[in-house]
Amino acid sequence: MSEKLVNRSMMAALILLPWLAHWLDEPYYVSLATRVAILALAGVGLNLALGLGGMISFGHAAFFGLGGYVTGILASHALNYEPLFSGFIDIPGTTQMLIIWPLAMFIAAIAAVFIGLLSLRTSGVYFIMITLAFAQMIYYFSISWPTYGGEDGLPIYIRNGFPGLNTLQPIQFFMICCTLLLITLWGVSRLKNSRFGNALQALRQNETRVAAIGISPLGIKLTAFVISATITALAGSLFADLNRFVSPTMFSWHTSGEIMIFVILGGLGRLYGPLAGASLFILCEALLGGWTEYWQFFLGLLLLGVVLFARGGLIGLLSGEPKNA
Amino acid sequence: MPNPIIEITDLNKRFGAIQATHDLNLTLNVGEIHALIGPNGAGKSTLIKQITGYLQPDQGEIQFLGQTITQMSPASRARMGLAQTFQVSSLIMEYSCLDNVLLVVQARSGSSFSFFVAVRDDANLIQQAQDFLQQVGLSDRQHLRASALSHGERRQLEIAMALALEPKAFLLDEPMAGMDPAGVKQLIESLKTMREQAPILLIEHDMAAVFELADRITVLDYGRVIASGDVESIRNNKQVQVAYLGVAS
Ligand SMILES: Nc1ncnc2c1ncn2[C@@H]1O[C@H](COP(=O)(O)OP(=O)(O)O)[C@@H](O)[C@H]1O
Ligand SMILES: [Mg+2]
Repeated sequence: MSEKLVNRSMMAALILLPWLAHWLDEPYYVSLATRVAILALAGVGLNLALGLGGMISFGHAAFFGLGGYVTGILASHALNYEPLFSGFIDIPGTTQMLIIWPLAMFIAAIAAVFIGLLSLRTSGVYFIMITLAFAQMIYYFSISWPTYGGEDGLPIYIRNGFPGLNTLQPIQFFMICCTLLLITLWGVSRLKNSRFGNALQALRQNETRVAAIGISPLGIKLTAFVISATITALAGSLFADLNRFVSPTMFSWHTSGEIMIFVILGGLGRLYGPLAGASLFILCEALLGGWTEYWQFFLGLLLLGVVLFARGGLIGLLSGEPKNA
Repeated sequence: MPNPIIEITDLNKRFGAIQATHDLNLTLNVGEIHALIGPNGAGKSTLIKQITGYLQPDQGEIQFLGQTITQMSPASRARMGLAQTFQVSSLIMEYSCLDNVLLVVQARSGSSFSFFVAVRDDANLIQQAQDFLQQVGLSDRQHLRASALSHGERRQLEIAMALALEPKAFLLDEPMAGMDPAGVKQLIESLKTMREQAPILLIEHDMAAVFELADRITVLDYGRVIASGDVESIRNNKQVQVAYLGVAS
C-alpha cells in the first residue's frame, strides 16, 4: 500500500466508524473517535515542529493547556455573566467556538513566540529542557491560581456552541473536530511542499548549510514553532469542550509526552502519523485499559519496538516505505 | 563594483593558547583567483569561517563590497553574495541533488516565507537548478540523494550550490581534497569559468592546481601571512620552498 492509500484508508475509517456507532446508538464510541481526532490534531501540531523541523519540544502541553484554559475561562465568564475584564468597557466571556478558537490560538502564539525566542537559540538537550521548564512553570501556576479552580480544574457546564449545529450531540461535535483535523492536515501538506516547508526540513538536517545559502534559521524555526503551537492549542480548545472540563493535567509533562508518543508511534514527519499514533494509543487504552490498569506498560513496549525496529512508525510499516521522502 | 571585493584588516582570532589568526590583512580583488596555502592548522579554515560569519573575530574588520560585515549573521552575508564550499562537505543529506540546488535557487530568488505554493511545481526554479547541476556534470545524478553520492560528487554538488547563489565572491575550502585526478581536472576548468563571474578565494593543497589557477598566492603559517605575491614570487620564495614545496634548504 502506498502512503497515500494508507492515509486515505485511515481517514475513511475515522469518518465512517463514528457514523456507524452513531447509527447503532453507541455514543461512547463516537466520543472515543472524537478524542482520536482531537489528540491527532495536537500531534499534527507537534509533528510540524518535531517531525519537519527537528525541534524536540517537550513542552507542547503548554499550548494544549493554554488552548484548554482560554476555552474554559471564556466559557465560565459567559455562563456566570461576569465580564472578563471590567473597566472603561466590559469585555464579556463567550461560548462561541468561532471566537474561542482564534483567541486560544492567538494566546498560544504569543506564548510560543516568547518560549521560542528563548529556546530556539539552543538545541538538543537544552532545547528539550527549556521547553519542558516553561510548560512546568505554567503547570504549577495553574495549580496555584485559585481564580479558575486551581488544582481542581474548571468545569465547562455547557459545551460551547457553533452556529447552526448542536454541539451537545456527539456526532455533530465529532464532525467539527474531524473537519478541523482534515483542514489542518490539508494545510500542513501544502506547507510541507512549500518554500517554507522546504527550508524547514532542510534546517532539520543541516542548519549550517541552510544559513550558508542565505536563509536565516531562527526566523524559519520560530515561525514553524508558532504555527505548531497554534495547532496544538486548537486541539486543546476542542479537548476542553469534549470533556467539558479543563484541569492543570493538560499542562503536565505527561501530556507533552503523550503528544510526542502519538507523533513517534505514527511516524516522525509523516503527514498522517499523528492520526495513526493517536488511534493506536486510544485503541490500546480502550482495549487493554479495560483488562489491566498497567496497559501503559504494553504501550511502552510498542513504543520501544517502533523506535528500535520501525523508524518510519506505523505509517512506515503499513506503507512499506520505511524512509520518509 | 568596489575594489577590492573583500578587504580584511588586522584580523585576530585566538582559541585558548592558539593564535589561529594573527594580525592578518588580506584582499580579494575583482576577477582574480587568490590562493591561500599553508600547512594544516595554519588557520585557513578559521579565516574562511570568520569571513562567512560562523566565527567571530576577536579583533579586526572584514569588509565586503565596501560594507563592514563583521557583525552580520552568516545568512545575511550569504544574501549579500558570499558563497562558500566547506572543507568537509556540508549538504542536505536526505535531499536529492536537485533539491539541494533547488533550495539555493529558492533562497536567492525570493522569500522562504511562502506557505501554500509547492516549490517543486515551479518549472522555472527547477530549470535553473538543473542548469547548475549540468555545469558541474551532475545531471545524471539529479534524483539521487546527497547521502548516496561519492565523495567527489559531493564536492561537485557543493560547487553547484555555490554557483546557484550567483555570488559576488566564492570562498572555496579545499574543493579538490579527495577528488580523483579526472575530477580535479574538471574542477580546474570549472574554476576558470567561475572566476569570470566572481573572484575566488581558494584554499588548496594541490600545488599544481594552485600554480595553474592562481593570480596571487598568500601563504599562512601560525595564523600569520608569511608571504604573499604572484605565482612566480611564491614559487621562488626560499622560506615557502622549504616549508611547503618540498625543496631542501
Ligand atoms: N573551534 C575551534 N576551537 C579550538 N581550536 C580551533 C577551533 N578551530 C580551529 N582551531 C585550531 O585553530 C588552528 C587553525 O585551524 P584551521 O583554521 O582549521 O587550520 P587549517 O584550515 O589551516 O588547516 C588549529 O590549531 C586548530 O586546532
Ligand atoms: Mg582547513
